[in-house]
Amino acid sequence: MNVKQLTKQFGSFTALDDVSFSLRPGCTSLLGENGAGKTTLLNMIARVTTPTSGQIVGHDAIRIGYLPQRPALYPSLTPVETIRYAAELTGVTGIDPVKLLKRVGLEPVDRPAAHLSGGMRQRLGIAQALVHDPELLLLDEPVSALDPRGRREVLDLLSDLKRERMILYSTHVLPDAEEASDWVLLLRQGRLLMEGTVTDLLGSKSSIQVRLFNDVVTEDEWRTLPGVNHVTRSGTTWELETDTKDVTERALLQMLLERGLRLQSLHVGHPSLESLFLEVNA
Amino acid sequence: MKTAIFKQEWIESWRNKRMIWVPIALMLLAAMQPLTLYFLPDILASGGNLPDGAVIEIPTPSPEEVLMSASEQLRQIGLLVVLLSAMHTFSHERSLGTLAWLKSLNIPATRIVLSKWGHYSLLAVIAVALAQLSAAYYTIVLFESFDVTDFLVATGLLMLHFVVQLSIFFLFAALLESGLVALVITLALHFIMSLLLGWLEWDWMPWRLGSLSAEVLMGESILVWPIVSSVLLIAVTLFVASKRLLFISRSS
Repeated sequence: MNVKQLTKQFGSFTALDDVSFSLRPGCTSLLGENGAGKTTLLNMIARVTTPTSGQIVGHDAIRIGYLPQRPALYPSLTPVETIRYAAELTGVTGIDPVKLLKRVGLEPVDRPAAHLSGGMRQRLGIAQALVHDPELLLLDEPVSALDPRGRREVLDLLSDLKRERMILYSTHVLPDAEEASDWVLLLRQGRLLMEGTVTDLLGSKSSIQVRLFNDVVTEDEWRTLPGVNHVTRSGTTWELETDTKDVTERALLQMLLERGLRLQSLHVGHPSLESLFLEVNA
Repeated sequence: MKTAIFKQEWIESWRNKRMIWVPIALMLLAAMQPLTLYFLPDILASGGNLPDGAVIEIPTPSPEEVLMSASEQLRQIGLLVVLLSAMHTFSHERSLGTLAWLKSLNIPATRIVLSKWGHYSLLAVIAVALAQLSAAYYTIVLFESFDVTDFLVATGLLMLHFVVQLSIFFLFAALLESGLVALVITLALHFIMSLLLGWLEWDWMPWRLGSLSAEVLMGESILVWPIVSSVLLIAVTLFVASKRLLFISRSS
């Protein structure tokens, strides 16, 4: 499936601006902040809306399963009825709703969708999107409403599902993209900034988040640590972006020891999406 | 399966009790007229605070007049009840995202519109039939019997009138984001056309059906052209609604 020079305008506002890419087998994540154009792009691939200009080649001929940001469920139907209805609509026969619900980690409770929790609705939405065995699965922020355990289970499920079909899912959380996807599309303000693997995007960058009991170290002092090329502060937490994680970490601990400063927390991970955007833009 | 949405509409209708309250509301409206007309002298005497010796003489209405007044209630308040019950049919599904989901499954808009319209039209037809039955029952019990053929023709015209108004509403509900705005436009159009038809002699117009359903009880009327124009209007409204159905909010 190829997306060619896709543009979507709402009046004078351009939600998506000349976006082109080819969808690959496996799992592709659509990464971007809120308002980047992720939902607009998914809606067009799902055939829900039409582009202002450009085209999507190949999406008319394939079965698409779509989970919108807020799962599209009929409030009065129970999970089993929801699956049966989706099967009837798509002409699928012989489906076992209970088996499908269990596959997405949902017990077939006898409660209407209106009375399910956010996480249960999300899982039911995924099951509903899988009913007709789609060749392309489009998921708009599938883990945003889930607790950490639910998030883990859905990401595992995506890793499982991507063996049988193409998946395109949107998220604004970088670790989620890294977790399940083979390919990443990075959108910002309606434009495709870059695409590649998560490793391509991140390069060798790491982020060290540090919080002290006495917040006495200044931004300039953090910058003197080896390898640090970007420093940001959020509340009492400093985020140091570095190309040499181990060297910086050792030097940081050495500095704290020498100055007798007590560490409240230290977290080493990936740079935030925000700093990645700043980096890419720069 | 092609009837899946139609069946789903009936399930929703049963679970939110629309299937119960719409016919009951119309039956009560229709039954109220013969009951009120029959007990009117008693009502006035007990609540009128009249001086001693005052005599009220109200001529007993003919059964046709009773049925006409019941029909008028149905055409006005009954129609409002039916349209209110359908008000959120598209806007609610738009906000739930289910319309967009149906579109993503490549379900044709015609099937969606016809399934929903079929459900509400059938519900309205059943409700009108039951309402007319209740009006007829009390008219026979409290007044006299009447010509059954004329009554059946009047009921048929009233049913068609409801289906026409529902079709007009469906057109606006499909095109516009708000069900309430669609309802107001449909009622405003109904009001304006009724006023205009009081002036002009356009007896072939679909908006004549309502008054014809009352007039037919009192004598001969030419029914062919309003029926033909109504069927045409239903076809056109449903065609345009299917072609222009708004699946998702315009800003999404």
